[in-house]
Amino acid sequence: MVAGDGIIWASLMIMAVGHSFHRMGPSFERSRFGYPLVLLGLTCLILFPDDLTLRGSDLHTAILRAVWWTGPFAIGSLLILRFAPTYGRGRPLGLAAGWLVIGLSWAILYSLGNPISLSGTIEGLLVLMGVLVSLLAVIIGVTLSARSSGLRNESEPLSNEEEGLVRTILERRLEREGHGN
Amino acid sequence: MGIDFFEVLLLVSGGSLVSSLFALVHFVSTYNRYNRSFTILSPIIIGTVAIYAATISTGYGPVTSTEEAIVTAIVSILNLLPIVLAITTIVLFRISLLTNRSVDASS
Repeated sequence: MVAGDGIIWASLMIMAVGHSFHRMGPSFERSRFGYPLVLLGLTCLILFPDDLTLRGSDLHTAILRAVWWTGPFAIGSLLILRFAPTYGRGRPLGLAAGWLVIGLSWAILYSLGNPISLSGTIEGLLVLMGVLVSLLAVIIGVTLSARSSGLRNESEPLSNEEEGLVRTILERRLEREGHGN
Repeated sequence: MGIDFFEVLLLVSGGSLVSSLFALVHFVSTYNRYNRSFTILSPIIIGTVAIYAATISTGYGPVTSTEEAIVTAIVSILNLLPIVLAITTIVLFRISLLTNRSVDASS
């Protein structure tokens, strides 16, 4: 494996770690590093790989092509979801901007060549089958693990301070609902 | 146009390798004091079987076969993205033009 290929694999790994950190949620300190790590990985993946092997070059080209049109597509989707009239009034200008960006991503996709092929689709479906096999194994592992582990300890009762906090939150909430109705 | 058995094996093992590797990275990077499951064993087992299947299908050593299988899998998944894009575009079309739901207690 040459250095360029190593950068690609390291970048993919950093992005996976960043995604996992982000999914941990705000109760964990490391979740703050999720987005920055994903951005770092993506930047390294796009900018730095050089002197690649044939396999590395194939992978890098495929990822770059995908980023070219999935980027605008993601932005357009977010705009449409934000300005759509799903609940209440929509904003036509934002909606039009979203559709414009999505149209642009389709144009980029078609300019890059044959976007959908039968052989590519079959290969993709076979890979998905492999992904499902692995996912099934993880689900079985989680189920078995959850069944084998019983309750650990009964949780400690709330302290006076915590009780006060919960009471305040509930009172505020009930008052707000009372005013709303 | 045909896909032979070894290519199918490489694609399926590549898919398994990608997801088991991702699961491993996820388990390791999200490790915390509340973790006490042996779930991490399942991606290790599946990953090992997938590496073995990849070595059979390519005829190379484990490292090269793993690399080959993962690259093939990622490129093939990226081949499916235009279809995902088409489906998502239809859903977005529905959202932006065809729905205007009222907000009530159940929504």
